[in-house]
Amino acid sequence: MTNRKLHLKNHPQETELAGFLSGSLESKDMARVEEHIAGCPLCLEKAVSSYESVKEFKKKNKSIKSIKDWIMKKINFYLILAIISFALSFVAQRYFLQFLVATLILGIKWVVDSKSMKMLIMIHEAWKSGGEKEASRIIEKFDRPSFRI
Amino acid sequence: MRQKAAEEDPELITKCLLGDLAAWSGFTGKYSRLVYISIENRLHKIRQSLSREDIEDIRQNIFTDIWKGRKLADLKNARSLPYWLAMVSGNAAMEYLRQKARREGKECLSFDNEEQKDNLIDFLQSNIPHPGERLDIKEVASQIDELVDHLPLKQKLVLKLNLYYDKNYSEISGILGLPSGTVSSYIKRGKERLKAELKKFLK
Repeated sequence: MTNRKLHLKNHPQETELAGFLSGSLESKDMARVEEHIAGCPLCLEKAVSSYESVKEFKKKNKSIKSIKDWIMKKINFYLILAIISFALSFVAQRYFLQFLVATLILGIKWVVDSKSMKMLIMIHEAWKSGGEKEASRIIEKFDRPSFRI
Repeated sequence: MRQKAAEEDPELITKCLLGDLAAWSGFTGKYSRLVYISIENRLHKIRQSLSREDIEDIRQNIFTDIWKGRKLADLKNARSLPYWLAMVSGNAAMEYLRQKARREGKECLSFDNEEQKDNLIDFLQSNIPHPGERLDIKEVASQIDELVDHLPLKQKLVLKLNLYYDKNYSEISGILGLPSGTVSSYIKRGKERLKAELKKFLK
């Protein structure tokens, strides 16, 4: 009992607990911290809470990045082509009219593409009301093969 | 992606410790969300709540303390930064609640993890054959506590994470750095042993 009380008093520092969770402690320190948290509810609680928070943080970051990437992919493709075509209309002046027409078509494709605009508006609305979860749900819906043109 | 993040943090930490305000702004921008999540998770576990303004106050205090106290220098490895920051945020939330209780002249509450107790009680209720009979679940829970404490070290830890914290195999594997096959075997063996002891106890 005395040993147990002594053991429970020697709580590892937060930096050590964090090192344990990230697997960056030396093996003897890992063993020491592991032995301590097995018998100390306070430190085990700290470790578990920390793990859960970091897991949630990484998941949210990943979903935000993937939503942003997806939107940028959809927006940028036709827009970039339209800009390139417009620039080429000045460079290759012999084909000025052709590049200008191509710019117009690509620009109209980007703007009038009802699916893209509808998607962007729906995603924006979903994001405003339900956050990333709702936005991801809308993206998944549009990414199903039946929705592809 | 994981490797890239690990490479960015050491640089960020070094620059923050050198007093680089742009790096500090990057650090707070990158990890503010983690601080919010950690505070909210901590409050959720102890069934307490705070206003958005209070949480923002805690967040400001955390980053101010880290900057002024150069606390990033205590980190031996950049990989442990997010876990350390999550713990610091949770502690800061608890301290804020205690100070708030003192200011309001309320009793300093003991912030028990209610979820932990509920998880153990759930396990017992699904494994005790006749839950309706005169039975003190709390007495049985403390018996379980005693039994788990006498298990071998790794098995004890795995079982506590599963029974008290409702963690699944992959989460336990992530926390302890054990293969999930090992975790699964520890949980199976541990639960069988507990059920057998429970039956003896209930007789």
